Formats: sequence, C-alpha cells, structure tokens
Amino acid sequence: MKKKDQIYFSEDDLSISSPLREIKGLNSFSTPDGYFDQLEDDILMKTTALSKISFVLSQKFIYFAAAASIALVITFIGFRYLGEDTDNSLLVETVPVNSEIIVDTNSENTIIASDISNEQLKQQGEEPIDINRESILPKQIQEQKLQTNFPQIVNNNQAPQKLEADEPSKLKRQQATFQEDVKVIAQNPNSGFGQVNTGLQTGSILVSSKNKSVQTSLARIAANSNRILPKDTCVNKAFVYQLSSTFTSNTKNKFVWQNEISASKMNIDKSGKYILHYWIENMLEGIDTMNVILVKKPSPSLGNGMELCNHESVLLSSGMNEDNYSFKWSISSLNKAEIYITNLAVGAQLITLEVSSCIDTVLTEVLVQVNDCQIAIPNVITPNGDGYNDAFVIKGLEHYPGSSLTILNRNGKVVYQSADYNNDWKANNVEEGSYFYSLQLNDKNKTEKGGILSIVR
Amino acid sequence: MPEYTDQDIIDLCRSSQTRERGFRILVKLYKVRVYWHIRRILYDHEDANDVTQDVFVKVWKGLDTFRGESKLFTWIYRIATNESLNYLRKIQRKKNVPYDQVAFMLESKAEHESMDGDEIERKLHLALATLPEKQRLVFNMKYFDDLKYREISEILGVTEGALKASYHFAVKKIEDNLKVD
Repeated sequence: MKKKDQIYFSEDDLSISSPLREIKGLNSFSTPDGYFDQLEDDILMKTTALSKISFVLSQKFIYFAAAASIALVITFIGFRYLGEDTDNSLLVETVPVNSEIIVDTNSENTIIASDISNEQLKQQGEEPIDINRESILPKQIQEQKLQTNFPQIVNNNQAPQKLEADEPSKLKRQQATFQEDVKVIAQNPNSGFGQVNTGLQTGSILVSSKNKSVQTSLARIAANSNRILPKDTCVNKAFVYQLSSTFTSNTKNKFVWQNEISASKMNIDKSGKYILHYWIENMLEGIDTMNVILVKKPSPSLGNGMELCNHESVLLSSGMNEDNYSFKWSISSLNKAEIYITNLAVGAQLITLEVSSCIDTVLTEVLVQVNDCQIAIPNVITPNGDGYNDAFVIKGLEHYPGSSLTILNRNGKVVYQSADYNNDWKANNVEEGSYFYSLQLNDKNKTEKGGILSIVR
Repeated sequence: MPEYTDQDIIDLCRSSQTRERGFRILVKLYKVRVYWHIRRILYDHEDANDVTQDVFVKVWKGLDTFRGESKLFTWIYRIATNESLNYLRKIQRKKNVPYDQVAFMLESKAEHESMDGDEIERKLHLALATLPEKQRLVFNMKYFDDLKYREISEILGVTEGALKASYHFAVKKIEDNLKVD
C-alpha cells in the first residue's frame, strides 16, 4: 500500500490502471456551434476598437502638439521683447499694425491677437466682427472645434502627416494667444489710462496686464461681465433699463433676465438685484447682476417753525424714514431722521437739514424761536395802584401756561388759588403782611416752587 | 494558414504596420486552448467566453510590454490563469460566497455543464471541482492541456517539484473518487 503513495516523476505519471487514462482526451463540456469563429471576431472587434481609440488619441496629441508649437513660435516671432526681463513676464512693444486684439476684461482673460488683412478690415468697418473666424473664438470654443474635427479625420482616413501640413494656415490666425490678467486698458496711452469702450476700437490702443502690454491700432474689446450692466444703479422712479447699443439682441447675442424674459430691455420697478444671463457673439457667456435701489426723492418736512425754551429738549423730526436716505443736520452730526434739540441760544434759530438719497438731495429748514424760560418770582409786591409792583408777576410764567398758584396766609388759610395763573393777582382784600406761595409750573417735571411773599401797601 | 512560430507572431506584433495581422494569427492559434483552459477553471460557458475575450484584449494591450523572456504561449496561459482566478474571486465577492463554498458552487456548475457527457466524465468533473484550486489548475494543465511541468512551472511560477506533488495528489483524489462506485 505504501508503494501506491509513491509520487511518480515521469512526464506521464498516470498509472496503467488509472481510470483517468480511459477518459483522457474526452471532453464532456460543449460550446455553441461556431463559437470559436465568433470568439475570434469578438476579440478582433474589441482590439480594433482599442486601436481606433489610440489612433484618435495620438492624432489629437499630434494636433495639439503642432498647434502649441506653432502658436509658440509665432508668439515669439510676432512680438519684440523690451527690456531684459529675466522672469517669465513678456513685455510686448508692438504688434503688427493690422492686427486685432480681443480683450475680455474679466480677471481671467484671454488676449487674442491675430492677423487680419486690410481687406477684411475694410469690410468690417463698424460692422460686428464675423465671429465664425477661428481667430476670434475663445480658446475653449477653439478646442471644441478641434475636437469635433476628429471624427471627420478618422472617417476620411487622413494621415496624421496630412493633418499637420494642413493646419498651420489655420493656426497662423491664432497667433499670440495668451492667457493674462488684463488689469489696465488705455485707449490712448499718451493721455493716461482710461475707460475703453467695448466693440471694435481703432486708434492707438494699449492693452496692459501685469506682465505685458500690447500696443495696437485695432482692437476688439470684448465685454467685461461687469460692464454689461452698471454694477449699482440708483434711481428715484421706475424705468426701463436698456442695454447699451453694443449689446443688441440678435442671432449672436442673447440676453435673458432672471424672469426668463429674453430682451435687451428690463422694466425696473423696485429695488433689488436684477440678474442678466448673457451670451455675446456666441462666445462670451456670463451672468451679470445689477443692484438697483429704487428710492423716492426725499420730501422732508420740519414743520412751520416752533418756539421752545432754551433749556428744553424737543424732538425735531423730518417726517421721513431712514432707509436709503442720509441726513445732515446743521445742529447735529447725527445721521438720523429726527433729533432732539436742546440748549440752543436764545433767539430765532434757523435749523437746516439736508436729506440725500443715492440720487437726490433736498434741503429743508425751519425757524425755531428759542426763549429764555427762566422764571423769576418776586418776594414783595406793593399793590397800591402806583403802577409799580401792583401785581404778583412771575417773570417767564408765560412759557408755562397752565401753571397753578396757591397763596396762603400765616395761618395756613388759602387766600388765593388759580389753576392757570396769569400774573394778575393784586392782593385784593388781603391785608399787609407775609404770605406763603406755592407755584406748580406746568413744565415736564411739574416743578414746585414756594416761598415767602410780603405784601406792602 | 501557414505555420507560424511564436517568434514569427511576436515579430509581426512588434511592428505597428503588421501588428493587427500578427495578432489575428495569435488569436487563431490560441483561442481554442485558452478558452478550454479557462472553461475548465470556470465551468460556465458564458463566464469562460467573457474571460477569454478579456484575456485576448489584455494580450493585445500587453504586446508592447511582452519581452519575449518567456514563451508566448506560457505568457498567454499565465494571463488566462490569472484572469480566471480573478474572475472567481470576483464572483465570490459579488455573491458573497464564503471561500469553502466556492467548491460547492463549482461542483453544481460542473454537474450542470457536463450533463451531456458520460457518467464517468461527470464524476471526473465533480471530483475536480472539490480539489483545492492549485491542484485543480495543475491537473487541468497537465491532464487536459498536456503541458510539461516546465511549462506549467513558468505559467504558475511554482517549482516543478511542487507541481509534481500537486498533480500526484490531485490524481490520487480523483482516482479515489472515480473508484468509489
């Protein structure tokens, strides 16, 4: 039995008696008819598909490599460098006279300069530029275009070499395509930097960015997303906003407002954010917003003048709410719709108020009579009919109408009482002597004053 | 079809102009053997069909990197073996089959697939399905494909001695199984 366990080391190590010997070579598994032909077709189909993909990929690579190298070379030929910049910055002095620059003044920008012939220039004039020309398409769209070319190339079975030979003429027009942050743009470099209008511009145009400036005689300035709409708009009545004539709705330009209305006009009838989704010349897509503040012209009113005591504190109101307005008082630095006035000099005071919205300013004023409201109470009266000190006259009491006065004799008996004293008590039927008065002023605090009053005839 | 050696095929595949022709010849030459090799590991025809196609796609992609250090067919067999085993693992993971039940799963497949065969063939495949994976691979290559130990050693990266032992134990188990009835 032990021998049976012995391991055979021959190439064919099945024992003579092995049942495996009998069935060797038989196949109990089956495959569908014609399977192996089908298998071969399937495999070759898959690998052919793979090779197609790699073919396309390699063509794509060749194309981009060619485009990149040509663009690079032309960039170097087309521009002269100024200075001995050692860093990566390119300082470009000029571009060929008949060249075109497209500037999108967004922060991430593409400057595309390209050759255009005089003839083309003439044709263009002030007409919108033909956007279908390769040269003025933004980079993204160019790439899309390149990609969509591939199926054709594959179908036409064009050799990559042919492709390379064909492309330079096309690529030439893309010359000087570079990505830059365009910071400053000047229409006339001699007179300083200034606003550049969008659209086709001629003359002496300097386009500057952090690292580079380009001078040209012709530039097409593409819209800045922030320039389609004014950033903040303040108006005092509803109006219809009309996009500038540069942005006319047509087949190439499309403007859609947030209310899904596609128009170059927008009815502005309330404050808020107005959003515009735009497509300009099929190449610049963006969203711009305009903050509109719709604020009525201020109409402050300080009233028809007033009187007050010098020590009084009185609220002076403009009759307006404070939203969207600013207030400038002549007597206060507070930016408020109403202020307390106090401690004014005695006399007539002119108080002015300037109310401003973001668009209007209205001046209003009020004359305020400030009185010296100190009271002076005499301690003796001589009611003898001589015209002097005949009545108990409290100086300044007229500023406190409704003040009450009570006069008592030594025994505490009320000899006179008035709820609204008018400085007219003449001590009638009262003997000479000392009396006690109690005055309650009709002021804010109902101030009580008391003292001795001597009556001498 | 004229006789092509592995070297002829490799030479054809080296040049991009003749690569497709070379590959077509390669497929013609190896498709049946590769298929059966895979079929005997996986049992299921549809599974084997998928894996066979994948193997040849891999071969096509790998032609660039094939250095000719091993023979073309051992290289293809190695790919086929690895792909098949990977496929088994994938099924295992997907169906969440515990490892000890893979054999059971294969057994039922083997039973189903060999319905047309003789009783003894069915028994053979059922017995095979219960073998440890490595023994089964070695048995398949030795018994069905008539590969030499040296070749199997190249394909599996296992020493010839170990292969011989594996084969011996596999044969023993199967013989015992067949003799039971």
